[in-house]
Amino acid sequence: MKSKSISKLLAYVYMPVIFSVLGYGILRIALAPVVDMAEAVGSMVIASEIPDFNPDLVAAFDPEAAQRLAEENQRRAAEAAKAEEEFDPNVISVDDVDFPANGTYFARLTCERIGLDAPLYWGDTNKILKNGAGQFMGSFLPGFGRPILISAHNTTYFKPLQYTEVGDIITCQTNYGIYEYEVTEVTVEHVRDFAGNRNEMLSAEEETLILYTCYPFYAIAGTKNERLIVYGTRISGPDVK
Amino acid sequence: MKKFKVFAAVLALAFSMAGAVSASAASQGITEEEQQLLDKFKAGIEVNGEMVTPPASYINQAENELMRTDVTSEEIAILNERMDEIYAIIQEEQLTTPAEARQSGRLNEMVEIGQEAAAVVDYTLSFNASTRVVTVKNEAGEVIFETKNVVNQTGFDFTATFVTIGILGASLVAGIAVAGRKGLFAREAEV
Repeated sequence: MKSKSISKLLAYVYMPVIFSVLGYGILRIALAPVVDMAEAVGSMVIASEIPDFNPDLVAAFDPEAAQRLAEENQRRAAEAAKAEEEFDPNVISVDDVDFPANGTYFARLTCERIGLDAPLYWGDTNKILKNGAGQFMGSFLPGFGRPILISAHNTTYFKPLQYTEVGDIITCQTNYGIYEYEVTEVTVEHVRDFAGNRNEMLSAEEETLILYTCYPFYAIAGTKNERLIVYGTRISGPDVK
Repeated sequence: MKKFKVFAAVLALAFSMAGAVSASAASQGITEEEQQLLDKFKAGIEVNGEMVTPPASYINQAENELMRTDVTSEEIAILNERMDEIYAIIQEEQLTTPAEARQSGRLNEMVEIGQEAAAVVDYTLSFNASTRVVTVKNEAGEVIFETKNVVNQTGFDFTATFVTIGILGASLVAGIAVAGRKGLFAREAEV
């Protein structure tokens, strides 16, 4: 009798625990992508600035900073002209560039025609991609004459990329300058080919804006092995020296 | 020319020493000495008659960090020494691939050299053995270098969700069918 009581007692303990663990595990596997996407979509709607409860991401972007710096440069140019000295107001000193740390919102990408409006972060971790577009740290800031590699999710911030056409103008506004890039190519490549070209892409000595995201856009199951890639050439914005 | 991930450890050393004067950086940009250091890193080393060089992503991260910080001549000299130590190991063991580095048993030694140098200036270097990613963080805990993949996965994949729901649904249907066959659904007694 005593052993039966103990068995019943154990059944009331280990059975619920086993089923709770199993249930949690199943729900976690099933709902993880749903929660991830909900968070990313939520960040587009709820926060136009960095939420306070996200201490790992920092907002450094000031939409008026570039204008202030441009005006300051014009003033310096006028003073230099008076002193008969040379000063190019269209060149930004590297000392005026505040290099962002990983996780810093430092610029904004826009293209009015396709509805692109994405905060741009330095770094491209999963956390960053839930809150905006992320720039690969092995690429360069705008104005430095080198490649700029940026990615974002195809269901959120880079969803508008599907409408990009050659000739579109994509603007990247930083704290030190406003840069415009004309789209020269929109292509789809297998991730193996795109990644295989990374050394050549990142070694280039010219400033190319490279935006990419997973393709196709509306496939919600299966591994996405292709990337939609948008290439752009700088047409305006100050050089950084 | 092969690209060799073991240069991550070398690059980590570069960052750990570059951080030595980050607090006192008076100006940004790359000095002539820093450029020479960068050029040495870019050039790579010769192993078994073949040039082995770091990937462009590592070089660019080094260049970005050197633009952000200043390194003194003394620190560049120390950094050159540490780089030469790592290169010596690579040439001694004739390592040309990451797999060879792991099999040689000296990858940890190279990582340790980097960690010791990083600790001097409160930088940290970590090597994740499962993901094989080297990460360097500055004294503020900010990641300044990482050997992660260049191309990200940037779409949400609901395959696991659908598979799980499918299995649960199939199990439910099977359970109901079995229960029905065994007569487990009791009928109300007719009055």
